[in-house]
Amino acid sequence: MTRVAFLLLIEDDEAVRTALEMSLTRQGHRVVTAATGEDGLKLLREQRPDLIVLDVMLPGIDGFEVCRRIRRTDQLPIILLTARSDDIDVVVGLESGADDYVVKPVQGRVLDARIRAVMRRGERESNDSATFGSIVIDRAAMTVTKNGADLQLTPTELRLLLELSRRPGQALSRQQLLRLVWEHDYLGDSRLVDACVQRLRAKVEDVPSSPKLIRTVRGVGYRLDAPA
Amino acid sequence: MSDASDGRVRGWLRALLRLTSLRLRLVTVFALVALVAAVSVSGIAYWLNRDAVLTRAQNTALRDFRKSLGDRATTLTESPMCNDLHSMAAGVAENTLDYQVVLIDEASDGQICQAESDPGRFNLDMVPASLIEAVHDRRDGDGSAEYHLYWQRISLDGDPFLIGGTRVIGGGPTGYMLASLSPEQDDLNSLAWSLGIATALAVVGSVLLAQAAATMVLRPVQRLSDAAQRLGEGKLDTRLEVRGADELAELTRTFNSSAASLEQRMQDLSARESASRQFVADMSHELRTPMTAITAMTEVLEDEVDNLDPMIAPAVQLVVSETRRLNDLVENLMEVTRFDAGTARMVLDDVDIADQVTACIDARAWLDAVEVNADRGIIAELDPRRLDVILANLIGNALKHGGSPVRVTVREEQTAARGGHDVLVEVADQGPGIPDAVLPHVFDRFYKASASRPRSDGSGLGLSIAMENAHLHGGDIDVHNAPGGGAVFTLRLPRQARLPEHEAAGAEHRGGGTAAGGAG
Repeated sequence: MTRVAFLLLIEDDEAVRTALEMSLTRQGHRVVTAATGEDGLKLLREQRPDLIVLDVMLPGIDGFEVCRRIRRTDQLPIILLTARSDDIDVVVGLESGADDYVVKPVQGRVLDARIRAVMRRGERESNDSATFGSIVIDRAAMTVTKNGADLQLTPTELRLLLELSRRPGQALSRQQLLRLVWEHDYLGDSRLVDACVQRLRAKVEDVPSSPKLIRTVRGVGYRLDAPA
Repeated sequence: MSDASDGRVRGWLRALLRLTSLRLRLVTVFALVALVAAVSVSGIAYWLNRDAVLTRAQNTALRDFRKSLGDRATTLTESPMCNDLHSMAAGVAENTLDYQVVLIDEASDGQICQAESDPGRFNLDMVPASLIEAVHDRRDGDGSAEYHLYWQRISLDGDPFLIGGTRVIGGGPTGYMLASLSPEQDDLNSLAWSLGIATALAVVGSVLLAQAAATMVLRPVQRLSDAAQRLGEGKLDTRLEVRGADELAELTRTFNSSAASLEQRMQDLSARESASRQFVADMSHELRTPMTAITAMTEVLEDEVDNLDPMIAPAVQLVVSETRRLNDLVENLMEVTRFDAGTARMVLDDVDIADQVTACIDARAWLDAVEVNADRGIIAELDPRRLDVILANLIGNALKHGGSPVRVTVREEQTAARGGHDVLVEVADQGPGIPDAVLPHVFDRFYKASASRPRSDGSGLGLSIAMENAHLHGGDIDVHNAPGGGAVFTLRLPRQARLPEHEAAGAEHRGGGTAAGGAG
């Protein structure tokens, strides 16, 4: 993608905000910033950014709540900026709908790479379509319909479904999926995959608790099956 | 049987022995005292009774015999006929005391006549010779009586009898009597039985009493012992109820106050310790926000370094590199505080060890300095990030202190103890090895081999963190010097990392549908 990404950075600490804004701007992004979650939500409605970089520890409504509120209406990518790599933060963040996360102190280049990877997920690459039971994936329009109704998927969820649907019946390991979808290195956090699979199941499966489409393959990872 | 259960059985046995020995001693002493007292009392009672009963019976019989014999002898003629003697014997034997009589005299026809009241039950043959001799022994001098009445107790066919004899004064006949002592014997026997039973009852009673006393004394002791054990197991809130005002109550009070002060001390210590841990955790956490800003800015500075004044550029480069070091240090400190607080968690995934090793080396551009000898296909369930931390620290350490080429070998080993497989990663360097004095300390935090050693680039936490990570997986790291020189670090990890119990419950379940918590 050659066009400049338009980012919304929500971060309460002024020094961090300024430094990250400067760093990201130098990487070629257009950045608007907000100091609180409320301001961020307002800016989101007014300016329609492509992606949100969201700090978890915010005064007022915290990052998780901001994330949940965004997900009610929008499917744009969210990258969490967490000050603690403590697991509970990451898990809660992923469950509230974030696409990826980076741990402070973050290097500008790493954040930039994550942003570019997330942005790439929305790109179309082929023009065919595929049908799995009641799910129809249109790769030309980058849309997914279930029983004819459009499904609202985030770019990450869509990319995960596309990668799985490209190899139907074949199990993909979490590390493989991390490389394919998240473009992480060999140390990707497998919980990103688990969280995203859960969100995807909630949207595409008839009964999310007993998935028929996206199956768990014990000891390996996940597999997309065409329902019998 | 495991050592633990073995030890428990031994502990019980010891406790039992200790308990019974004290109890046994008490019971034995009580029983002995009761036995001695009861036996001596019974013995004396029996002896006195026996004497009294026998003497009375004897005296009655003998007196009656003497009187009866005397009375009838006066009616006898000087030279009585044998018939007269017979009727006299029958007459004397006709008494309420039921004794038999034999009379002997020289009859008028010059023959010795023996007259028995009942020849079947008593005749002269039954009289002991010594008694006959004593009866015929004539006493002179005192004038009261020429012949005395003599008696003896004998046993006929197992039954006790009293046998007595005398000569009637003035040349009268000689008379013997035989009285059965069986009724008296029976009385005495039943008395002996009663006394025996009473003694047995006394002993049994004393044993029961001793048991009760032992229980009374030992129960508080047992309670104290149990409580002390609980205290030793770390349950510092163990207290005992104080009952009564005896020595044991005093002991209980002492125990309680000791336990209380121990608990207080432990609380103080752990509060202080957790406060200092919390401080380190908070501090490292607080450092992160400014570090984020600084890191982002130093990157900007780094990009501009070529455009800067050559006088300023080295300063900027120093700031950049030191910021990176500071970043690593803060990261490591955070990691250490997580280990100390027990909040370090694992994110398990199935990974190919060989791939991980290669990727780790590749990511750090170590490929030229490291020989990897690893076959693909050894899959283990572990936390890939933590494995990477371990590998990076071990290999980095080998490169820094040992020198290249560093050899990394991955192999699998069956473990008898765990019944599974272990994955072994050996990191061997070509350096001088580690001095023996240093060897036990290589995993210590901030340990520096010698003060004179040049400042290393590491944080001083690397190997310690590697070890903690290995422990988290249920594995271990071993270090030794190879015979040919060079240090060898051996990482041993179980193929299936076992989550600690407190974590297992909260761990993500990968098997079935992780259905909970869909898109919010």
